[in-house]
Amino acid sequence: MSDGSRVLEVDGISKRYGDVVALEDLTFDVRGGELFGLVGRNGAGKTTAMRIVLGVLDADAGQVRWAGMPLDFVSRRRIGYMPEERGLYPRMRLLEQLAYLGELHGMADGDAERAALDWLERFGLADRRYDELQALSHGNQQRVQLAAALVCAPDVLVLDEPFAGLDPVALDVMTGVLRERAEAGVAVVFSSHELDLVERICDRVGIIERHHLVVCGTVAELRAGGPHRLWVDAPAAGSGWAATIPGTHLVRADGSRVLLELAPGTDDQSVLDAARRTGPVREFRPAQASLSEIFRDAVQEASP
Amino acid sequence: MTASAPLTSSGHSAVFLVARREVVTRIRSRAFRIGTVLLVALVVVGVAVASVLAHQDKPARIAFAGPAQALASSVEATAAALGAKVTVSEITDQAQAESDIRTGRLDVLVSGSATSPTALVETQLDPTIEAALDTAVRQAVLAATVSQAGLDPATVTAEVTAGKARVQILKPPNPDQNQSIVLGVVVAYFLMYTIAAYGGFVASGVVEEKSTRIVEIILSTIRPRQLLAGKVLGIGLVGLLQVTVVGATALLMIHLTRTFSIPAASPGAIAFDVAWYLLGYYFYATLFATGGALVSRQEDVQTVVFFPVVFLIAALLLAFSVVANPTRFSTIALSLLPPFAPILIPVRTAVSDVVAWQILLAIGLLLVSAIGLTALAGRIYANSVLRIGRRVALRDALRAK
Repeated sequence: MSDGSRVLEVDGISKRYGDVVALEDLTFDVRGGELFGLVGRNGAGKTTAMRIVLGVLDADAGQVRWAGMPLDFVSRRRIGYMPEERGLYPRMRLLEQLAYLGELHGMADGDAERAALDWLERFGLADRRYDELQALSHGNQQRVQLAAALVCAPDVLVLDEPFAGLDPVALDVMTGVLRERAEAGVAVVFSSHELDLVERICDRVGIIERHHLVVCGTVAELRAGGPHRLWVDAPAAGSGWAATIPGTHLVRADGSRVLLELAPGTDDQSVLDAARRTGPVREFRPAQASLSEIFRDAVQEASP
Repeated sequence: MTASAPLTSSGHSAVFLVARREVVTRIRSRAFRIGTVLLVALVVVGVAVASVLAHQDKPARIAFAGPAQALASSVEATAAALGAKVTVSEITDQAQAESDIRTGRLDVLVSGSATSPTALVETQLDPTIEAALDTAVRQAVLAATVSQAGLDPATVTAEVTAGKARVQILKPPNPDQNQSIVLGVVVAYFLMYTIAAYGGFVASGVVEEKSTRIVEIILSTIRPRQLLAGKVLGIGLVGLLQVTVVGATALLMIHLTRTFSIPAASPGAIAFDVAWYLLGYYFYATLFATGGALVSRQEDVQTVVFFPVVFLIAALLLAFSVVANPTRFSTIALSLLPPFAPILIPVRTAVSDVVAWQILLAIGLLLVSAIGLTALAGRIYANSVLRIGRRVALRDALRAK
């Protein structure tokens, strides 16, 4: 599915606004055919990074490449973009508006109009193609906004907070389309605060904190790099039991169940033995850290 | 941003695409259609009213009763010499004539003796007719006096009439001056209105793209200068269409009603005015676009278009002084300046002759300054169009990379 020559590389980009640092040596790559989620707190630099990829902002240092070549005005036309601040012409008809954006991306008139109509059909808006955008409901305007990013049949999709403000149905449409585009070989990168969603649909995740990437990898890789935690349910153990086991500490307790974090080098089998000594053990399993937990840890580590 | 590829891969230039969008969406807008219909209606009604007023210039009707009838031929001849059109009649029913004056069927009734007649009018006596009447009376008095002195009245009158100062005219009066002034004022208003309106569309169009944030998507595919150029070009063409429709309507109406006979109402002169719309629009549109790029909300447009609008209003006020004194040195000098030329040069050509070098100089100055302004505006626009939020200081917009 992944094609080595189709990689969007963000290589060491930095950006300051006066004395304020927005990005410091940010590096990551997104391969064709993968969904890459960029997460980070507000102000971490996600939007600035995307604007630099699109050439809307100039980086102070660093380079953005597609298929090994620095992005320029022509190759940027192969990128579909959904900015954080949504907006299209309110008084322009849907079909014309999408076709216009397709043409600005370099498509011929006819191709652009055909692609625009295809996407309107896909989103159930074909019968409204001669309506002005402002006549549509908020949810339908969001669909048109996504179509605006897709109409140029891009090699790369850059979407800033694409899930913000979507109703559950629109959210399913959005994730479905992004998945499908990735499967068609498009490199998809988006930012989001919906960590559960990112965890569910992304092939890889990058966490931006303090203006650069602190963690990057598949969710499984991120988990492997994270702390080793165990859920243990030993009903007879009593409340102070966890504190007696060397090399562990209690993360939290849930009734008789406890979540233990193991210090590096601690053998989980010795924890099991200790639990067995207290009586019956109903549950003993490694805890799957959620992306939210991984994110919280990464953010805490990066900002002491 | 790297410096390459002004063309999209399909061959349409980005400027063409942006301009086409402006033309298509604006011509379809209700504002354009209603505005054009209203302007055309205004021109039709305006020329029709002017035509009715022009044809009201009828000859004055003068009736002579009793001995005063001896004055009739003399009054008619003198009035004609003074340039007043009169029709004279001799009546017997003085009471009927008096009532005719009250009802407006007669303008002047002259009665009494030839040497001391009475002129009866409704409200006032036209000064030219009064002068013609006085002249005729003096001749009658003179004839009576010389006759009493034993001389031949005909000989004396002939000699007196022959005594006349020769007048040498350096500058013959323009018999069509009123037409010229009306046309000059109308042209000034129309050019000022059109340039301000379409310049205003540029400013609000720029702000619309900023306030809806679509500018971020567009500028990921084309350069700020291409967007600016396409917008100015597209809106300018829509304005040209409207100006052409209105100008053609005016020509048609002038032709149908034969109201204006002066050169300033000829097709060539109106084409000249349309050309000045283009020059003026180009000059001012860059200023309006720059203003629009500095703000993010429609509410703030008023503050930034203040500067160009003040210049346009100043040009209109100067136009009135040009109409009054078209050859004064100060009005000639001001009319050559780029902010005023688009309105003052057409007005000057409407009310007087303008030598070709002045027109060429005004066009040259305007083009040079407009090209310079375009470069400056492009820079300010590129540096501020993506800044959303509070108004961008002009200094920052100029300085930023």
